[in-house]
Amino acid sequence: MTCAEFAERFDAWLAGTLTDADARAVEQHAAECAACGARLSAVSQVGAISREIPPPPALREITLRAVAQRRAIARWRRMAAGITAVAAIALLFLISRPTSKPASDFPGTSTELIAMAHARPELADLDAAERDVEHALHDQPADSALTGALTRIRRQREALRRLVTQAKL
Amino acid sequence: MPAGETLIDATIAAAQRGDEVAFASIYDAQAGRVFALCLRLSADRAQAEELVQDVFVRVWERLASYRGESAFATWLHRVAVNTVLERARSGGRRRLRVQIAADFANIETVPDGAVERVDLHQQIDLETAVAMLPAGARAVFTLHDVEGYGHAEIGVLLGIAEGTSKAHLFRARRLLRQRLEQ
Repeated sequence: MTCAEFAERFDAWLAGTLTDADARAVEQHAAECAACGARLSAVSQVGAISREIPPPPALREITLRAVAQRRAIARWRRMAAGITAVAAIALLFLISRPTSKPASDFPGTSTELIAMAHARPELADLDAAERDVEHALHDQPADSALTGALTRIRRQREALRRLVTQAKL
Repeated sequence: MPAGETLIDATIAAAQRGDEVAFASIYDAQAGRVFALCLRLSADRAQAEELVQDVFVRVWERLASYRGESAFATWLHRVAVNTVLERARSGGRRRLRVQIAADFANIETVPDGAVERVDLHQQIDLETAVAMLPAGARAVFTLHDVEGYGHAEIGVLLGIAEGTSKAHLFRARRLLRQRLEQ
């Protein structure tokens, strides 16, 4: 192969459209000719491009903090679904119970006991979620999503406590 | 099973249970490749750093769905590619979306010289040359030559025809060759 033939076929070699035999001929010529070999080695440098570039060291903490914040919000959302169910049970009890109870009644109906049994772990989870979000807010005080989550956690906990207190009456 | 693989599996399992230290180990092992992908697709360091955060938040969100059907690194980088391209399409990273879309639309009409923005006296290294590629060509080059995707898959990921992907790759390699030979 001559240098002119190499030049003619180089773009096709680059595009991968040559037959295997033609591609080998181009590579063979590049191995024998210093000038054409230099063109090929420039392209080989492209093939050796690194798959990794070190990120800035500070990005590690920023990224892991972003993940922790998302974890705190996700945990609160999971609990919110459970709390809604507990609140619904407690509300059902409040609506359906008689306005006055005989003194001899067993302390609590089955609905009331179920509501209280469910409420205790949910309240504990809400306390844990509050701590998580407060911790995240300490790092990111301007994060409005976290502030909103904290407000909703506290509101839900108070609403749940009110329902449980009323269920005990 | 090799000891190293067991260790990796244990780390992934711990991260799936919410272990923050284990997740940090995953970050340490994969951040370099994820950052390279984000940087090459966006050609903008600040944007790439935001994308890395998006990718690892998404990885954490989807970690529970990883069942070990493929190598963890392969799974993670697929999540990374999808996250970056979704961000580009959604408008959350509008500039990246506009660059890529415009470049795909104009492959036949934009002369290569139009994207030359380099001082010819400047020392050009490989990363700089990649960063100067038109956005569409850069995306295809990164996915094909660096990440190892095929043209059919790139076509699906980027919403372009397989032939368009090949054309962009050819253009990218040609431009890189020209710049590296200067």
